[in-house]
Amino acid sequence: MAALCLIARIAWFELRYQLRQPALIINFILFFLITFLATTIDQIQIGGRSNGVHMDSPVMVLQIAAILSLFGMTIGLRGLTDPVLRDADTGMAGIVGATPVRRPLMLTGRLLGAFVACAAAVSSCQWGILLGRLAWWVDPEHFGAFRPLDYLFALGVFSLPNLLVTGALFFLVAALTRRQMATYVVMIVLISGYALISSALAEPSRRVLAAYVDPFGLAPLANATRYWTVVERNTQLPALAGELLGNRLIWVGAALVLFGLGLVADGWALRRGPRKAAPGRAKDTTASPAPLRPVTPRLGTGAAWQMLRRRLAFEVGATLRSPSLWILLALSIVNMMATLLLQKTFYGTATYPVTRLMVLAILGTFSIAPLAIAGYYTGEFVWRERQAGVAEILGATPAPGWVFTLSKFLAVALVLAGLWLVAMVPTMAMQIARGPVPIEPGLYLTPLLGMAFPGMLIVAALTLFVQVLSPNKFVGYAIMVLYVVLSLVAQRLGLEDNLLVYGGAPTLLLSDMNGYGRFLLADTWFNIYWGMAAALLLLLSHMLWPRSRALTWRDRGRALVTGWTAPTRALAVVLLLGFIGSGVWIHHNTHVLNEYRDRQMNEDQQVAFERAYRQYETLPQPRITKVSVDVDIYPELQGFDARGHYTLTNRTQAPIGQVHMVLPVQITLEKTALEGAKLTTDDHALNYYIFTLDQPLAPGETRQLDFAISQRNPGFTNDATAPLVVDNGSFIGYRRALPIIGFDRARLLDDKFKRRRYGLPPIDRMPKLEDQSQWAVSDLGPDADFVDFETTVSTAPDQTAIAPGYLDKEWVAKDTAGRDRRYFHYHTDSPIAHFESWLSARYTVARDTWGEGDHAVDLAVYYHAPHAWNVDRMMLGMKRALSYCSANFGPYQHRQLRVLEFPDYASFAQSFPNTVPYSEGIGFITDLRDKTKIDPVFYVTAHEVAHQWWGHQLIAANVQGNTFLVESLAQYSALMVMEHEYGPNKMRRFLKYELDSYLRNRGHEELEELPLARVEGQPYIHYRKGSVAMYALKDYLGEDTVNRALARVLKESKARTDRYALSTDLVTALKAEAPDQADLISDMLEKIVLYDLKVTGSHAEALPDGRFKVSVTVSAAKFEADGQGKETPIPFVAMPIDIGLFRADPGAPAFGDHDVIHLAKHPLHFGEQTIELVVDKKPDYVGIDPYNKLIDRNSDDNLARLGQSAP
Amino acid sequence: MLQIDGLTHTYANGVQALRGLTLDIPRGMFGLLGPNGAGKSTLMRTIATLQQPTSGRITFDGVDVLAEPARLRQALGYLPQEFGVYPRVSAEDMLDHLAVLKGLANKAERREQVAALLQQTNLYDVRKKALSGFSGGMRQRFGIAQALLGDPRLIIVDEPTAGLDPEERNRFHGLLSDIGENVVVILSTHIVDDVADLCPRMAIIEGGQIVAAGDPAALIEGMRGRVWRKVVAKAEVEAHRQAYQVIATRLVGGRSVLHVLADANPGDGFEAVPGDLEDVYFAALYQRRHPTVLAA
Repeated sequence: MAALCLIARIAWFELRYQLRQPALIINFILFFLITFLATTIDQIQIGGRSNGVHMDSPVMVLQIAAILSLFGMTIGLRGLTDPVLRDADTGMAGIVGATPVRRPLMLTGRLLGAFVACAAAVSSCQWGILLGRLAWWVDPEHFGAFRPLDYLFALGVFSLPNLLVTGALFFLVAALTRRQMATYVVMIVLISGYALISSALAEPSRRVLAAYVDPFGLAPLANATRYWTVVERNTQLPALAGELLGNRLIWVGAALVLFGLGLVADGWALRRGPRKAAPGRAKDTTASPAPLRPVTPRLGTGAAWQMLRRRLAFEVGATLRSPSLWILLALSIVNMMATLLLQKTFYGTATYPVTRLMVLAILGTFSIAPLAIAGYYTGEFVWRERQAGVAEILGATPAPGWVFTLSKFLAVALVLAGLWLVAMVPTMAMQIARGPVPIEPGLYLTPLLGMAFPGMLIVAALTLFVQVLSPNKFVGYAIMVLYVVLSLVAQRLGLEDNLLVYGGAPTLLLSDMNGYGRFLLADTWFNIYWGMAAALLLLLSHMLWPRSRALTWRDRGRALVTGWTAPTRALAVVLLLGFIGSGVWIHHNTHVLNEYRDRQMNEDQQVAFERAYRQYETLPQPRITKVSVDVDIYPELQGFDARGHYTLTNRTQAPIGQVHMVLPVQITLEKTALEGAKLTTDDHALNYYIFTLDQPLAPGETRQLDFAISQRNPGFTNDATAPLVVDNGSFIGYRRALPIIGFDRARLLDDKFKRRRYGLPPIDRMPKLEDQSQWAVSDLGPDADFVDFETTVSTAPDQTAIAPGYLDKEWVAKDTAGRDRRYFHYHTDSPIAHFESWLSARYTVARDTWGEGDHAVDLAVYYHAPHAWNVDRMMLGMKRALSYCSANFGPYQHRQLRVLEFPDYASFAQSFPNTVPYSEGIGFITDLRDKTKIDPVFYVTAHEVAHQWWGHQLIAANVQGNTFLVESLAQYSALMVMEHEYGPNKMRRFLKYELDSYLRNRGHEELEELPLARVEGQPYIHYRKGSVAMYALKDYLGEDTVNRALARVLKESKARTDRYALSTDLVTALKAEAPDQADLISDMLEKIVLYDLKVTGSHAEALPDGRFKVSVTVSAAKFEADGQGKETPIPFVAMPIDIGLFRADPGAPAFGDHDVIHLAKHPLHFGEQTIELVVDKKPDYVGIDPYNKLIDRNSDDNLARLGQSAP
Repeated sequence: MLQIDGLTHTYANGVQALRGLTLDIPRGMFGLLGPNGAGKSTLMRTIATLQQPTSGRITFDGVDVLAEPARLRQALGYLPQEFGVYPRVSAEDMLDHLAVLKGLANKAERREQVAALLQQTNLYDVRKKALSGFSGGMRQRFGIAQALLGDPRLIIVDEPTAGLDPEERNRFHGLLSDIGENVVVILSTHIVDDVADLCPRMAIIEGGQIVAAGDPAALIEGMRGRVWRKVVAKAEVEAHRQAYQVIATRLVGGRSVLHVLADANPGDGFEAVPGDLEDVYFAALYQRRHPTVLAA
């Protein structure tokens, strides 16, 4: 009892003591601010959040608590180690140790008090959200109802247990080692180990393990809420059961054990006693000492350089001897290797380790160590003398200040350079191991030592200057942390001009095809500019070099006024001129030669555009019926000229008096004219033009519109966006270049909340399916139907330029400026969709043909020479897709089909008429050597080829459901082509990725989830759900039935002239082909229906005849969800669902048909039921819908080992 | 050699460490005596160019120290009151390092001098050992070794014998007196014996001002017949303080020995003492602290 009282009194003293500690107060304020800002401004976010999910939704409250407990480790790191370290550090050990209180009792009391104090600090993240609700500037729609329980749950289940776990670990380490430094090392190990293990366990199959291993509880939280819809995220807490409860119990238990061990370790460490350095003892030498001869110091330039060399060697040596450098380096390399080995895959398939990706991996994962060196070590360097107490001895020597500043700076530089060189070793090893890729030292050194290295030196110079001025090290660090944070968020806060943010430079975009492009030039200039500023800071640091401990601002000021000498004055002038000069040159490039635009300016322009011209959105306009454009691509100028004409036809029933023309923002209109019309609005700022016709255009009448446009990106720009035309690999899409007739909806601001802030009315994502006014409007653009197309495109003489259509002439000629140019003329022999592109690059070409005789189709892949790996797969993909689609849906409309590689400034492939631009990042460098892996190159190629039918033959009307017809059907076609090539086993694995992606993304829907037939361009629906739903229909209806319906829809669509295709056409056709499956078709396409199928048990019994009676108990449920994710159970009887018995796991790569004992559809009803089967062999696995054909909320519990329940 | 003229220094927190201090220091050992907080270290650091005074002038051998600190540093040897060492660096390496920074560019000369200094300070046997493992005395000897690097003409040693045992202190005194003949050596200390043993000239500093300066012998001579001693019980000390100008009390065998300042024998059991430097020191401090009593 007395002991308890004593503990309580010690705890109370400790609590009051800790609450007065500045570190604790600063931590509280910091974490409060972070969460408050994350809750109230868009620019700062913690974890992922999509617009529909409330800022203070239960899932957000928990997620923020769990994530911040990672950063909040620092609170426990100080607070819970202080009770054990404090006595020795403050020299109170003797006094405290002499009191009669037993040490474990004392520590327990202190720990209790400290934990309460830390808990108060940790609760800052709940307070931040809670008070964030009061922020009046936030749109009230971002907040939900006040749910106090959420905050208590977050505190009790995440914040406090996590504090306990990490705090216990740090306490144990501190008790053992008696060193704060050791706890920092453990924290770094913990953070990187956590990152490592989390990414290693990110694969869906390892999620259960991850749920228990994660000491912060993030993994079980993610598992519990992964597939939650917006409504669920906003209104539910996860159940404190299952994985989450297990995880918390395991880790809180572990924490208590660690605390116990810490108390034991403390006693052990006390008995061992403090470590004592053995002092050397000088013997008195009896021999007479050597006479002391004075040596006159020589102080010239030579001596100063000698001093510099000596200091440099000393600084580098001291750094290399410091263990923390090696720990940091080791952790960075481990982190980088982990990232490399666990690189994001493309449907589970790896990518060749080309140097560009290796460099990006180094830049991405190896950035902490250099920043720590530049921002932290530099500070340690500056304070080294004052900390060691030798500052005044050194200060009294005649060595000039620059010897110290420069040696410290150069030491940082050497260490940094060494660091990057070391970083290349594992990536090069990886290139050798995973080869065959060329190892390109030049490609490594330019971005690493040429770009990232100077950037870090600039930071190091700032650190040096700040620390020279700072009254103590910690103020200096605080300033540097502030600088790093500000430079990270500067862009989001509207400070986008790199001339204004110290050390700012555009991101280096890399491409194998285009190398560094002009980005290298921009980065170099910004590095020169900030390098001059950095050198000036170094010069000032030299003058302000602290030769003693106590320096006043007056001393500093005097040093700055009187410290100038002729050389420093001259140097300062040179640096200042260099700074200003390079700044002027950069400004000339980024503001004068190129138009400078930041986010705010873009938004303002969007708003201005809408206010001025949206009134014309519904104005009837003629359509483009013929496109003839000559495009001159100038790779060396990063620009192009285009001259052309549209033939415009009035397809409405009434005369048209005005023709409106819009140009993309970056395009300059040189000249334009419309037959019989005057340009009455000529708005170059918004690129909006109105022609008023002298005589209105009568229905059916045509006019010719001429235009000349140009685009130039000379020099370099402030931001890292790739221009349309680059040195090698230009890609000009029509939508980003050519005039648009009528209003351009794509130029509107679409973010719901921003629109409200600007006072703009809400807009629909898409016109409704029933909106008949849009039925005759193509979803490729309202200004054209099918067009006749021809183009002459010219480019540099060593490049090939390609546009849709057939090449009928190619020649080399001099242009008006006398330069050699290569010309290509393309034309089409039948009308195509108004959907064109112009590409130009130094290509290597692979050719083949598909089909024979008159129907032969020329195939070509235009690729970057080193990217030959997968060209044959693309060729095969084209052939197989052409075969499948022409056999099942109708003939291919062109005589030619080609794939064109373009730089990795965007990662997509896109299907233009007979032309498929394909990014170098998504297929050309995919490593397909492992045949057991999914072949995504073949899949993407087949998908794009299928678009020649779905998108180019069948064009969807501009209403909801359009992308279902275009994307889901291309996806379905590609799935079928893949299934015929690689077999259904790989399809199952592919579809599991698709299902997972669909289920995950519906939880992040911003507005409303829609059924496939009403999809509003939502990729997770038209690609991911489209794949799963169409494959299920194929399974239930049969491939032939589905294909008949598809062919019918295509045929009808081509025959119809009054409107474009609607999703309802396909639904109707499918129902007509399979009337008995009308409900399933409706569930898949017209509703949001989800299943929950699960194996709950099974057993097998040997029969006398040698066969086996297997009974499988399953539960089956079906729900219909609304657009917000609210689910209603739907009862059903006799729905046929697959029941399977297997000898092996169908998910295993080696699984084959011979492992299937039984697989057939059984009529099941809602709820639990048992199916009995008699089979020849004893199964090892049983499953319900084992191949995941239906959209199942939990696809992992469809399969179980015999006798077990699914997880 | 070294002239200090009207030196004033006020710290940012308002503390006036130096108040118009004026002092002329000739060649040879010069003792600067004063209690803790008298402004000794501020004065030393200011002379050593480590901080700038609020006002005043310092010239050394014709060089304006405040305007051209770099020139003074070429002739300076400085042992700060407190100093530390780099971890994991040996005495020899550190001394050689400092020698380079002092401008000893020639390697052979530097080697020779470093070796000689290590021997002079009796650190030669431990020259390869890390400085951080040195005892207080060894560290202090290292401090004096580095202050003697090169050819210093102004050597400032600030509280050098604090923490030294008697043997080390003697060795230290020997070293200083060897070099103190041709150059200016300023020995700042609060230990009277250091000055008494070593310095032909001295000054007493208190409250940022010089309260007495001159030849120690002459100063002692000036005290003759003015210091009186009496042994009293501890309880009587306070009463005597009220009655006399008690400049010092000391416990001997449980009884208090008082020294009072008086131009004539105060009677009352006081006896004459010859007076030593300590009495000079305490008398100077007493007079500084009790100016009104003196006036009375």
